[in-house]
Amino acid sequence: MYRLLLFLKRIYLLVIFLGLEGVALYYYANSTERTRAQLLDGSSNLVGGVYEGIARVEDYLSLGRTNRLLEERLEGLENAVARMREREAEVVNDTLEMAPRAPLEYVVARVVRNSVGKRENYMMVDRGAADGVERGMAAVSLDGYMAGYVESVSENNAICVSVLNTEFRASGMLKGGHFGSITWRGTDPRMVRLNEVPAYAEVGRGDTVVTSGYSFSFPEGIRIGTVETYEVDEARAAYEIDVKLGLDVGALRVVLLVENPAVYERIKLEEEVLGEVEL
Amino acid sequence: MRNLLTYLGVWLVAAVVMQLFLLDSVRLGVWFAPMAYVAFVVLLPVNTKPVVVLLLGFLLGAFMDVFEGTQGLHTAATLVTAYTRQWVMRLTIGKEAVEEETGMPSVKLLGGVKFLRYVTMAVAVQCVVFFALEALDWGEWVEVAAKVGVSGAVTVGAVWAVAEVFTARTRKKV
Repeated sequence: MYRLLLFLKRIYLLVIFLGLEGVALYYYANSTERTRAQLLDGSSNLVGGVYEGIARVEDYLSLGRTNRLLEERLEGLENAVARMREREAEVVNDTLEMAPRAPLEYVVARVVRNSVGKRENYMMVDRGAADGVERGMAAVSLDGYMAGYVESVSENNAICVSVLNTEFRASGMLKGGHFGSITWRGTDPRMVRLNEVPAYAEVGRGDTVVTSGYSFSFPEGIRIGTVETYEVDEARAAYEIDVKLGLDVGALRVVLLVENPAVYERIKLEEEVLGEVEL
Repeated sequence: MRNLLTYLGVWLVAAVVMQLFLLDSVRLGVWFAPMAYVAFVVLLPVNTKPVVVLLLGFLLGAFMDVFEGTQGLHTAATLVTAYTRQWVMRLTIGKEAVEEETGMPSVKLLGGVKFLRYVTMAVAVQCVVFFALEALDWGEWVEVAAKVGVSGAVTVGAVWAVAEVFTARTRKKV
């Protein structure tokens, strides 16, 4: 009788365990990059203030570096403005040349929470819907490197999918114009993989890789990194290229969120038609 | 009542302060993802009923999932750690100790060697389940093993530190 009771006791614990474990695994198996970002967004609102405090301390410690980046960025922008003025003066009467392109707008945001130790890393930034942040915006570092894209937005915060997230997708381009898809393989935080570049393209070690503009979030020409190693996958007649990231994600403090109105229209249109869109 | 307050403290120190605010702010690379919060389950009194350990483990895992945005992953791992705790204790600190002792597992209660053996094995269970589920790919066992090794070692240190903090406090009161 005692043994029977003991057996029942053991079984009852096992049943509870299996039941709860089943629930956990079910939620894990059915989660997507978007639902995870939303969960993080919701809970971050509760403790966001603390993260902002921690980020402020880290900001203080990295002021020198941030300043240097800002100076470089400012210099670059000054030069760009000067070139544009020059160009404007040249073509001021040519209406075709002056046809407006969809303008890019920027929101500067501080990274208040960030990780590199998971397979799915997200970044929380201190700007949200109130500051004009929208889902699908590209996150770019101050020195102009691709960092991620906005996946979920609340009033004062936003969650970005980091480039170091195995669900992250972007389109990368070599200098010759051949493009492929960029993914992170979850093992090396300094390296991403560029696949699907046709085998006849010219590739060399050290070649610059930039975004192609074919993915949802990123405008064309944002720097990603340089070619480290490459080999041809004979079966697919395409390169498998390891790209060394130009960005140290772990040291990221400030990002530019790039608004690309043309992209929003596309997302909104697809959302209306299909319901939900994967970025 | 005092026990309840102590363990609320353990939760706060291990899961909130250490895990969410301290360790999560350290970014040393893909291998560095310690799980200090598991200290709460590991350090429950030796004589806690297994079903209570299991339910508390579920709550702890769910809490971590909400704040880490992992949807079930922390819960799945913590449940396994909580469920196997009884066997892990028997294996590492002996059947007699499990039946006789009533306090928080610590160096003071079990001795350094037994305590370290117990924490290491419990953390190993947690880390192996977590990182294997996270990867979901047998081809990546080298990376998983490296993560278990590095993050596990840091986690053991964190659990030990939490135990020291809370047993040092009781020592003063006595």
